[in-house]
Amino acid sequence: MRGVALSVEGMSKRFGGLKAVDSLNITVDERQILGLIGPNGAGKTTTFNLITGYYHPDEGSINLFGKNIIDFKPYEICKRGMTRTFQLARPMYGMTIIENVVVGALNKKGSLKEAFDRSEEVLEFLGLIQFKDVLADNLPIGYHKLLELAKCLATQPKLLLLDEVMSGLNHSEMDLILEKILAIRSKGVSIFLIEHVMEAVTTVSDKIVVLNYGEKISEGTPDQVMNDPNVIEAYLGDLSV
Amino acid sequence: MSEKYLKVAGVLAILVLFALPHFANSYIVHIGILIYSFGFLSSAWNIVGGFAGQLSLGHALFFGVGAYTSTLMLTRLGISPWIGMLIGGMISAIIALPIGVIVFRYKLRGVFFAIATLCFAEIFRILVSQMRFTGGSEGLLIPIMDSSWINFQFESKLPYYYIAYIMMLLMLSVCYVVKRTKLYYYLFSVKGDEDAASAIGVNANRYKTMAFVISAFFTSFNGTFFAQYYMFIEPETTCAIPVSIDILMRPIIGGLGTLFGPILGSFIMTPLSEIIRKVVGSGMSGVHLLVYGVFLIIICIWMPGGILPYIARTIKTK
Repeated sequence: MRGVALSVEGMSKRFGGLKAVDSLNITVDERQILGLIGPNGAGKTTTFNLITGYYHPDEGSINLFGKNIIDFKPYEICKRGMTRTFQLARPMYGMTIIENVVVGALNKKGSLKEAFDRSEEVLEFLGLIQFKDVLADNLPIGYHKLLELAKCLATQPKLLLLDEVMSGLNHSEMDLILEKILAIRSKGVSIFLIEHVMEAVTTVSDKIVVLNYGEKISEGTPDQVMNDPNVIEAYLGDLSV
Repeated sequence: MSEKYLKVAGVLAILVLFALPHFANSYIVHIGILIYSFGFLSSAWNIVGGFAGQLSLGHALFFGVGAYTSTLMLTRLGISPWIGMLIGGMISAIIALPIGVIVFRYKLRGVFFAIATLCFAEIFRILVSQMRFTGGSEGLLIPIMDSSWINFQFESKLPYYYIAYIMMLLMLSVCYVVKRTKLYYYLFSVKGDEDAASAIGVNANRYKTMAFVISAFFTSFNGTFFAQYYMFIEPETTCAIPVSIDILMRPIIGGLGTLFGPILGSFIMTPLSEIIRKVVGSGMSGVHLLVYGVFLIIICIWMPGGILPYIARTIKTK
């Protein structure tokens, strides 16, 4: 049996009168790829922000590799092996690409030299090595998502949270990222991803969780979820009318 | 190739400036001393203001602590200003630590950080100008002693020139070393995007506080130098807002966050403000601040980021 990487139980978050996330239960197993989908405003990114310590949940518990991380700050959570990307890529401007990645690599102990070596490996792996010494300000927009991924990978996470890394990419770029995601998993990393591109999320995920209005409305294998009437209704409206 | 030229030019500049006082009159030497002092202060400020992107408006606090600590220790206890300098630095660091912890803990960023630091500096200025112990608003005079290194007092300007010069070069080395540590990468990432940095494991508050404390520690040294050079300190010239402005203006104009930007800024702004002071006379104090403002607007419009990055960009695109 696989161990559990992340387990979220009864997590809720209210913004004023709006329930953004409503008593949510999610479990990510080790070496699993879990997809999180749902219509716009379903609470997907809020869920990520709650898990990674950017927001504090009103209720519920979050356990990362058996450790309750509910009061942890984002950097502490990263130190414990969970790293996230941001939906809008956030390169650190003024630094070169490798320097951006080095900041992530410094998450693990070791010298600056070692961090640079590790960053080069990551850039090589993601095919960004030719941009090594380019300023982040000048990186072509199509590579921003890859840089975001590189920064996170450099932290050597055990669980990787990807927030829409494939949105806005063309087919071949998407295939490249899908291939990389599978390669990352084969190294023993669990992956939890939010994705709007259905084709991508269904091919890569072992399991999918569907959110609507902050509530989990479906969970299962990609096939099960895609045929679930609740899911179809959430996306397309009530078809029986 | 161009890097080689730069290195040669750098070594030449160091040698020329070292020999300068033997060929120049005492007014030029005085301006040199001011340039190096401000070069030192601006470089120290640049660690927190440039590297970490936290624009402190309160560095007069640490400058004042340096000036008052060594002066009080000298006048009351007869302790050498050199020791006073070191103690002043430590006191500044000890003061900066809780300020940094509190201000960053409550997420004061950008202008809010600037205003908070300004407030702390003002509190210090008011305290100093109200307490009899520190001489009140009349300030403190340093008694004239024998011209010696121990006393940090000299009849001629030459020793001051070399002390200021070496202090600046040492400060530059400190910045150079900082740029080669992990701390620099952490600071730079926090400056770039604090939330993104913390997502990849950077404890932003800790490193910002570290930068603030290091910067405060060194800033204080120059406060002591100032006191020993002028032999007189008062709240208005050591811990008032214009002192903070004087310090931060140079890195912003020269090149925020760069190694040589603050020095370049000092080489441009210090003689300029001295010339203005001479031309306008003492009748209209504060005119140099007006010039700062105009200069800053020009730099912001035509050379965002400062003069040094602008030059670097122009060379690269050619």
